[in-house]
Amino acid sequence: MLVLENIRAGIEDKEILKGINLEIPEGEVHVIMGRNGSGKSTLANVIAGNEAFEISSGSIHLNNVDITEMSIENRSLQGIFLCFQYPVSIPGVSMAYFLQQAINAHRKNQGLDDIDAVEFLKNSKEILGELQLDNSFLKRSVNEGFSGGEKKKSEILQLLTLNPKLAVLDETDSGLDVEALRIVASGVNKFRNKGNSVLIITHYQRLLDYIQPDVVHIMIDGKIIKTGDMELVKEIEEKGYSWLEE
Amino acid sequence: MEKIKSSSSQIFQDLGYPKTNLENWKYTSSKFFQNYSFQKNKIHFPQEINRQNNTIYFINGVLDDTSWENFSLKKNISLEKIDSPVDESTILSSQNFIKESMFHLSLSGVQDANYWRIISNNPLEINIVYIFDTSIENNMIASLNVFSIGDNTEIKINEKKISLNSSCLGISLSNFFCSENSNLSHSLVTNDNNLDKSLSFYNYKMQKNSNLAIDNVNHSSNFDKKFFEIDLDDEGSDAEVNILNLVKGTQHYDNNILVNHNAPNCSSRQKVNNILDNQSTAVFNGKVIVLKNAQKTDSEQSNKNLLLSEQSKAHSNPQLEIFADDVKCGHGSTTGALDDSSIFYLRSRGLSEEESRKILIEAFAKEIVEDFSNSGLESDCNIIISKWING
Repeated sequence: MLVLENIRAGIEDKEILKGINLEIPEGEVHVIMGRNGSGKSTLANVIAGNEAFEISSGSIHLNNVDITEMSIENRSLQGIFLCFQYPVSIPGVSMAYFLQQAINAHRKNQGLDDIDAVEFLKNSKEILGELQLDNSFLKRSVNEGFSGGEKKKSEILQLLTLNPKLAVLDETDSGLDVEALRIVASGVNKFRNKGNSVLIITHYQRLLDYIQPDVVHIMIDGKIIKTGDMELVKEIEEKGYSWLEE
Repeated sequence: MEKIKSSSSQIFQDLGYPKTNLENWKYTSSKFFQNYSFQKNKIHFPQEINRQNNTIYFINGVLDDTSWENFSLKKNISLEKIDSPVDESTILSSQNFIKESMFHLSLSGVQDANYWRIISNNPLEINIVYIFDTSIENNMIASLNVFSIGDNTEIKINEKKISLNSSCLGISLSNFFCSENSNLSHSLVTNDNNLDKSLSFYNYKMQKNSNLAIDNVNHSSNFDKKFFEIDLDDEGSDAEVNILNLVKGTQHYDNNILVNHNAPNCSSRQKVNNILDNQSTAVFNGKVIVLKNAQKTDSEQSNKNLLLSEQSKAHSNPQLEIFADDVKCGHGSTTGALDDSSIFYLRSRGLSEEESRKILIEAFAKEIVEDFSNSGLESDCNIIISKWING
């Protein structure tokens, strides 16, 4: 599914990722944990294709396609979805219009006609129900006036609507109360299947109580320095990160 | 009327063309006006225009008699020509306009002046179409209309200017006297064959509990300067102004809006969004004056400018003058390019950069159209916006 080989990347001459090697096979959920400033969000953005970050060396492949030089929209069309840590507000663009435009961009890429309006509404209402959001959510402007929980649910709504191959969740659990966390995690679990993959970036164990990862990576100073399973998460919760630097 | 025209002509000669040291003309040169002059035109209804119902046409500034003869709402609307001695205050109603030399020049050249009395218990909707069809070069054409809107009358007036040829300068002078509990929705939506150059003066005198909504989209003139003066003269009156200017090429659009809160418990809201591309320019001069007795005033003023090119320019000058102490008044102005993080967000969902930009431009434009009081304009406006963005 996703293969990163020796990725070095940064912003404005400052190297943040210092040689990342990562392989996420189909059907697996991987977690990256690390301190603030260790490069976790940079890694999420580099995978998604944020042009603010420059890749100085290495390569990214998705399903054996080299996407290292690919634009962010083409990576989306290839099947990468980034759940934003801080989704932007877009006044005047309704959720319904935004979702339809996004779906149709993907359908066009697959040689399909635009989605039927009735089918779109039926599908959207089903997902909204699962996320415990009212149907009127579709009429609201994208992220405008949304609570922290609504913003993250909106990201999961988009994830379930677009059904990508790889979901990158950049601190999706931040700012969520227990109830919202449970609903968001349930959405991710619904998305998860043998044909897709998930990369979760988080500081805390609490999201992982709901989403069982297959592999856990620890990132320090732009490098993955240890890989393990849920036992590693428990060790981090108990001892922090310092022992890994010794 | 002739006396007023002669007096205005004299005032204009004394004042001369406006100079850039005047606040309302700081960013709009009046030099080109000097190439224009009032000249007599042929007045005949153009074959290429299909007459519409409940529509009053003006041909080169003069009322088209046939459209008035066939007008079906005569029981609610009566017409008097302003050719006999009239109360000057119906024409010189704006204390702001009478200081403007171009107002006096325009008034001095008016060929046809009409006084409309509108009274109805049922909601009315009429169209006013100014057709400019002249082969005379650099011709200046002005018309004057005074509307008296009776107590409890609710009316939508949809105004259009159509130019069939030439590069004429069309001038509208319109005064609206809105009586108690009346409701006026005045829409000004330009069409593709709009005037090359347009100058307008609109004054609205609002009486007790009257409501005014101005819906305006400009996109096709090369030059458009509008003066709006809204006088909230009695308690409970309300005015809402929503203007969208779609400006490209070397077009220059200039909105001067003055809202006088002269009485307590009145509200006003101005929203002007300009979208500018290429080397175009836009000017916003918005002023709200709240007199000492106008307590409990609720007023908002917003001007947003979206610059799509580095060469486009927006001049924004929102002003508040408040002499009362128990009021709620806000104003704001923003100018900037499309937000990169919004484009990035849309692109991350598979939309191309061009599609993302179009979605954001469209949203900025629709922010105004969605607030229009006349919802019937929405589909026309959406077509205009879409054509402008994709054009």
